[in-house]
Amino acid sequence: MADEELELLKGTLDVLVLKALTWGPRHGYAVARWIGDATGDALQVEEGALYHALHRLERRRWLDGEWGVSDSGRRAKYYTLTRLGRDQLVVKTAAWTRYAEAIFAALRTA
Amino acid sequence: MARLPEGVRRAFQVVAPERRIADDVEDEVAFHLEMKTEELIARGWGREAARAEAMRRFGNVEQWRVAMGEIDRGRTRSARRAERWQDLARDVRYALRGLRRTPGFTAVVVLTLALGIGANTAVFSVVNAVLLRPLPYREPERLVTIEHYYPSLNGLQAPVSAAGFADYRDRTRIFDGVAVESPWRPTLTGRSEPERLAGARVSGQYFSTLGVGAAIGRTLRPDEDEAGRNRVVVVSDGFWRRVLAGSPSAVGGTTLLLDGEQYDVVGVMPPGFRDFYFRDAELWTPLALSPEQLTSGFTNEWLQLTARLKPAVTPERAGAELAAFAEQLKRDRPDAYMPDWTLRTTTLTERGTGRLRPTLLVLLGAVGFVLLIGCANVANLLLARASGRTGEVAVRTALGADRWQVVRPLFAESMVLALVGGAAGLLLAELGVRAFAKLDPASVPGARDLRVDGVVMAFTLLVSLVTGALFGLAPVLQTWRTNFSGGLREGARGASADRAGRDVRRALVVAEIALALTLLVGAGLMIKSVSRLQGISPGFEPRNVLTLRVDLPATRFRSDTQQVAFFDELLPRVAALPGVRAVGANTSLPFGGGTTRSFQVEGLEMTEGQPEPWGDFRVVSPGYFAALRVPLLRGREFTPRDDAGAPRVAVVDEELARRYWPAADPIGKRVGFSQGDSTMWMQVVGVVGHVKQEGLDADPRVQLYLPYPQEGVSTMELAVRTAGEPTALLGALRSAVRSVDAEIPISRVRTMEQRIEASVGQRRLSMLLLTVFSAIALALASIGIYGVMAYSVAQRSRELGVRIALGATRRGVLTMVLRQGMALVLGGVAVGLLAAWALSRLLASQLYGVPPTDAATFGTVALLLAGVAALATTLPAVRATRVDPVTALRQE
Repeated sequence: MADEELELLKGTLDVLVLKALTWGPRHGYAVARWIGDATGDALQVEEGALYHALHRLERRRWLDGEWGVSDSGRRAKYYTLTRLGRDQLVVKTAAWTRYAEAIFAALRTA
Repeated sequence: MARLPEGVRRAFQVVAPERRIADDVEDEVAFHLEMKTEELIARGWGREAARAEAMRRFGNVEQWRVAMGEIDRGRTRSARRAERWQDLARDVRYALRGLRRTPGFTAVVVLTLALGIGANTAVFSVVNAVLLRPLPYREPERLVTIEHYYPSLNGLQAPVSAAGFADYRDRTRIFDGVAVESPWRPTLTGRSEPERLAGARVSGQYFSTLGVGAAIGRTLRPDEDEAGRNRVVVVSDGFWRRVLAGSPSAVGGTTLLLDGEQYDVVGVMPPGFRDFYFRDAELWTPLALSPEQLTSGFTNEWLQLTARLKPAVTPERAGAELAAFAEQLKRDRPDAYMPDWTLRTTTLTERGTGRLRPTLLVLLGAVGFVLLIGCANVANLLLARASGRTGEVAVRTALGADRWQVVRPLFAESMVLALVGGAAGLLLAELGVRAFAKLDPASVPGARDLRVDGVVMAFTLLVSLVTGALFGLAPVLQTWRTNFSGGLREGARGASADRAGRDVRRALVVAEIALALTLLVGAGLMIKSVSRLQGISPGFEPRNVLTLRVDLPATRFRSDTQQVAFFDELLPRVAALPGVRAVGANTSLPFGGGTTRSFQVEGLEMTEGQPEPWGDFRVVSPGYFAALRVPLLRGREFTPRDDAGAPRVAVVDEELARRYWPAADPIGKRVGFSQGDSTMWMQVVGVVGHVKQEGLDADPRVQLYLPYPQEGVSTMELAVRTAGEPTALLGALRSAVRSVDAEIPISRVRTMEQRIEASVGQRRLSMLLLTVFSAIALALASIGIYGVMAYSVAQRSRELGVRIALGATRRGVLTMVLRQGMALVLGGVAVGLLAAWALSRLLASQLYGVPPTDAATFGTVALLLAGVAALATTLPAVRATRVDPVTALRQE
């Protein structure tokens, strides 16, 4: 994978992870499922990369990680959006929308 | 799922330890894989296939795990770092708040520390300026000096002779350059006012030996070091700016009229350069020794020598080789050197600071002691403060704080105190150093270069931190050792904590008293030395004598006759001034240097290998001995009739008479100077008392005087005995000199007492400082014992109340408390006497007439200290007798 593509993918993953958590704390598996469902499994990405993104965002203090107990009674790590993360989601959503619209507009002309 | 709010989580600092990170990552991934597998099974996959598919979708599991772990470790590390800073900030805030709440305690501690650290900083800045800054030459550690050394003459050291210099330069193989120099005091004319300058005449290799080149132009060339080509000068940066207006074109094109001769300015030295021996020198000109000077007169010791060791030669090896070389020289020239004459070499660095080094190190040690005593006091205060916090500590322990968390704020408080005290001390030191530099005492060379620079500040910071750690340890240790369990009970004090604290406090007081006693002994020994020294008669009457120097420029006073005529005219005029009792002149008055030379004694049987007689040599005026009130023991002194036409005469001191004519009458005997093949004989007409020429402590050389009308001298120092205040006559003296010749400058105006004072200046300075330091130490130690006893009385008020209630008399209570206090004092005195006995040796080189273990000093000081400490104990003891049993028993 080329570097720009990787960066693009990282950016995509980050914003999707943030979005996935807007409805409250979730563990990684739930985040993965939400992204799969929401994008109709269009995003062909290793799930390891998703976890990598979760940990990266936790380090940036956009997320807070906390161990809890899952519905099935197992120990799982839950992620919560911090205030910082919430702010970032707003910023990134706006940037993504602008970007996608620009590309879309460009591809429409011809 | 239960979650703690973010703020609470941060407050409790939930940071995963390193080893848990890998486990957590593994658990997280395992959970995901299981969930995924179940999801796939639910969609109809077989278990094995589902598991494999889950793994495939995750990617390289091991690689992702490692990546996640790395991120988490980074996060933990930065969290820990932030946590540490937050802890520190919190501890400091907490400490500051606590200190603000007890302003009295804080003020006392900061003041104590400021005094201690300030004194250390000030003394260290002198050490830094004098001992640590390197000399301004290339590889200064390879530069040495060679001196003539006479072990049997009380270790007398003398400069070298010109002929000796030639031997050391040409016949040794351990040097990369040998140079000699002598002072030069030319008068500059032809530019505004005539000015006396300070300079040096230097031999050809002078600048190359020092390894310093000119900043502008060039230094002196070796081929200029001979008569006829030596009318060139190199000037200092300061001279260039002051006299030559700092103009680069002045070099090479300017001539200076010095003593009436034209000198070409060939170079300017860089700003930091200075002459090692003649600190004020601004001009350097070739010495131009004559071939005759270089081959005869081996004991005419008048040149300062500097040599550069070859790279492979250590100073020790040079010393050994020169000592062997000296033996060789004595065999080669048996009549030139005394049997115990030898050569001694010292590195320039050591030579420059050798005199001051022991003084400074002793002073540094002394201020160190003062600071230690201060530390002990502060530690005691902190211990009392920590005891007051037993309850707080117990609560924190009960709430689960570990020992480190409990003592950390205590330590932080100590460090804050130390740093604040250090800052205040730096301020004090800066003020003190400025005042000292303004005084510019002659006994500390380089005092005017003193400043608090980066090195000094680093020292202060280090001292503050060490100090803080030292006294901060006391409360920490006490708390650490304490069994907290009892602390929570209402009003109870942990008995073991109390006992531990009391032991530490007592040990500290004993140490304080011991340190103070050691300092007091040092100060006592110095005081005794200085007063002994000042009690010594210099051999003449120094009161009400003004001294000044008159130099005749060689260009206008070419012949002996002209020189003699000048002084013949000047001296009676000075003597006739109102307020002048008598006047005498000497080529070099006592306490201001001098010359030595060898001479012959008629009829003295010279045994094989015995050297010529040798001693201190001065040329004086008729009436000199009467003017200075040097006792005339036999015969007569010089009179105006002892002129150039009269038979040559000499006056000798009692030492010379005793040594060479122990049984016979010296009057009429003859002494002489060899001049080539013949000898110039002089008849001894008088014997005078021995004069301390260079210093009060020791001057074993025999002394020989000649009258100036028979010698011819271009420089004389006048000693004017006055009826009243000597300096009041200065104006009249100036005009007297001017009335004889308007162009003759006078210089070095001082009273005789100032000259003597300067010779004891260094001892006096260190005595003064030691006295001040030990006074501070005494005060601090007294405060220390007072504090400990007062605290103990306050702590025991209940016990004392019970005793009184049970019928103990107040007198009994008083003696009990006093006895306990004095036990500490006597313990401290005993330890201190031992320490002083071991350490006072270090002072030996500065003592005079007092052995380092002088019993009288030790005894006096011990009594003084015990007395002051007893007073400090009395106050709390009296308070103990006033304890009201009822109040004391109700207190708890």
